[in-house]
Amino acid sequence: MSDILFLAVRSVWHRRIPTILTMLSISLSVALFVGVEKTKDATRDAFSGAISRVDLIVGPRTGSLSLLLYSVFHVGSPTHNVSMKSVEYARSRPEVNWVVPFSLGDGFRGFPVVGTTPDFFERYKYRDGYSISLSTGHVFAGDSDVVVGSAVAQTLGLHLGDRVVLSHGHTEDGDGFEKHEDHPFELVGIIAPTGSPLDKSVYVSLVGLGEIHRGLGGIGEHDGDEGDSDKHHDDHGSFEEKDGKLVVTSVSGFFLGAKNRMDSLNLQRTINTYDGDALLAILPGMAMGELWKNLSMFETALSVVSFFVVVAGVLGLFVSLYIISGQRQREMMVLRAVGAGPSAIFALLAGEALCLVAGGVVLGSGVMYIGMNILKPWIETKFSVNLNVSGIKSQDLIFAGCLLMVGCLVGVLSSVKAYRSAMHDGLGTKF
Amino acid sequence: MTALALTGVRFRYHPDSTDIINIKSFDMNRGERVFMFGPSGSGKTTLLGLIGGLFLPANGIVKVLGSDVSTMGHGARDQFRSREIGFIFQVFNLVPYLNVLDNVTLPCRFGRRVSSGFADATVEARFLLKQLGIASVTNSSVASLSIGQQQRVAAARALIGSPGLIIADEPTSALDADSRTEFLSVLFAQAKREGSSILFVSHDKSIAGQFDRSVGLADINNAPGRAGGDL
Repeated sequence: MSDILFLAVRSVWHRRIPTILTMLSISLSVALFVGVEKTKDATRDAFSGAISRVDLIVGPRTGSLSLLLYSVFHVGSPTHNVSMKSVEYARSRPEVNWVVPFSLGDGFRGFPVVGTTPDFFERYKYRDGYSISLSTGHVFAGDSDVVVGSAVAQTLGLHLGDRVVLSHGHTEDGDGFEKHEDHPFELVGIIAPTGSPLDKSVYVSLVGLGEIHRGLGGIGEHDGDEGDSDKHHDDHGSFEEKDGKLVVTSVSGFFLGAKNRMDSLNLQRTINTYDGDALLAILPGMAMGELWKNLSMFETALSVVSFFVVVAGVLGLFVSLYIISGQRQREMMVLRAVGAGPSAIFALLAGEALCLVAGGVVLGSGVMYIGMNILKPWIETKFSVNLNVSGIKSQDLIFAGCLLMVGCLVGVLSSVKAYRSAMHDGLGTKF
Repeated sequence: MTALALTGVRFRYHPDSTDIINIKSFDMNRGERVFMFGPSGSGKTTLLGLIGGLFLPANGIVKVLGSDVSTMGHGARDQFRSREIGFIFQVFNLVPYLNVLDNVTLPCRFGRRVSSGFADATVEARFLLKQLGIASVTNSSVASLSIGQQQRVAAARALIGSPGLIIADEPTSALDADSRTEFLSVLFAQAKREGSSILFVSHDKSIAGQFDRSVGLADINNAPGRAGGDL
C-alpha cells in the first residue's frame, strides 16, 4: 500500500496544475452549495425567528398574512385601527398575561417607526425566546426618546444623544411625506443585533408618536374609518388631547401573551368574535408557517440552484478525471508491465480521485465557512439575516459523502477505462 | 531448461474474429538472445502480451522459465511477470512522474527481488545505471533525458533483479545507428552478466546479425492473414 501511496503522491505532484484546477472547481461547487444552503437556512431562520413567545397578534380585521407582515416585518400597513378599548378588553381577560400595543406608519430615513410601550422590550422575543437587549443606552422612558435597531444605527451612523427627526408616513426610499421637525427625538438606546426585523426598526413611545402629529391632523379627528383623505393617520393609531396631555385612543394592533399557551386558541376565538371592534387575532407560528409556505418557491429555487451547482461540480470532476485517465493510458501499461495488478491500478486512480475530491470538499467548505464568518456581521447588518455558520449539519455531511462517493466512482470508472485501454493495446507502443 | 516454450498457442481478441496468433511450437533456451522480426501488424505485440501473461491464449501452453503462465490466476501472473520478465518498449517506457532511479526500481515495488550481492534495489539500480553509462542522470527527471538515455533507463529497469527473460519490443527503432549499436552492446553485456534471455522483436532486420538466432514471426505464426506478414 505504501508503494501505491508513493506513486499517488508523485503522480498528483507531477500533475499539480490540472490537479489544483480540478480541486478548485470542486471546491467552488462545494462552496456554492454550502453558501446556498446556509443562505436558505438563514433566511428561513430569519423568518421563523422574527417573533417568538408572542401567543397572539391582534389587529383590525384583515388578512392574517397582511397582519403578520405589517406587525412583525413592517411590510405594508393596516387599513384600520384597533381602539384602546379593545386593547383594554383583551388586557382584562383573565387568560391574558400581557398586552403590548403598537402603532405603525411613520418612518425615519427609510426605516419604519414603531410606537409601542416599554413593555415591548421585555415581552417581545425573537429566535426561540431570545430577549431584546440593548448594545448601548436604555429603553425609551420619555416621549421624546427613541431607540433604534442595530442596522439603523450602523447604516445611518447614529450615536446616543443624536437628534432624530421622524418623517410623517413611511416610504421605502427614504423619508416620508413630511418631516416632523417640530418634535425631534433623542436617541437613547441601540438594540443589539438580532438578525430579525427589529434591527431595521425605530422605536418610540405611543405618546411620543402622537406628539409628532400634534397640529398635523393626526389628533382626535382621525381614529380609524375616516376615509382616504388622510389615510396615513389610519396607519399609526390616533390620539386625543386631554388637559394638554395626549391620550392614545387607537393603535395599529397589539401583541398578546397568554398566561397559559393552551388558552391561545380560545383567546383567538374570543377576540375574533368580539363585538366592540372588528378584530383579527392570529397565532404567529401558524401564520408564519402559512407565509413561509407561500414563499416556498423561493426555497425551492434555491434548492434547484444547489442541485445544479452539485451536478455541475460532479460533471466537471468527471470530465477532468476522464481526460486525465486518457492521458495516463501509457503509464498504466508500463505499470502493468512491471507487475502492477488491476487492484493496484484501481487503488492508485481511485485513491487519487478520492484525495482530489476530499481536498476540494475541505477547501471549499473551509473557504465558505471562513468567508461567511468574515461576512457575517455585514450580512446581519445589511440583510438582518443571522448566518449560523458554526454548526456542520447532517446535510453538509451527506453532501460531502456523496461527492466523495462520486469521486471514488469516477476514479474507479476512469481506472477501468485506463485498464481496459491498456489491456486492449497490450504492450503496443501506439496511443 | 528453456526460457520460453510455446506449444499450440492460439489467440484471438474476440471469439467471432479470426486468430491473430497460431503458433504450433516455439522455444528459447536460457541465456539465448533471439531476434524475432515481422512487419507492423504481424502480431508481434500480441505475442509479447501472451508471453507476459497480459493476455490468455484460447488454446495452448505458454511456458516461461518452466512455468505455464496461461494457467496462473490474475495475481500470480502479475507477480510472475514482475519477478521474471523485464520489458523494454519502443518509446514511452518511463513513468513521467518518477525520476530515473525510481523508474528503475519500480518493478521491485511490485514483487521483483533484488539480485544477489546487492543490499537493496537502489544499490542495484545505481550499479546498472553506471554499467549502462548513465550514472550522471540517476536523480534526473525522465523528461530531461534524450531518447537514447530513456531507452537505457528502460533497459536498467528491465534488468534489475536479474529476471529470467527480457522482452524488448522494438526498443531501438527510435535510435540512430550509432546509438542502436551502443545500446545493444550494453544491453547484451548486462543481460549476459545477469543470466537473462532476450527476446527482441523488430521489423529492422539490419541488427539481426548481433543475436544468437533470428526468427521470422511469419514463419512460426500460422494465423490466417498474418503468415505473410502483409498486415
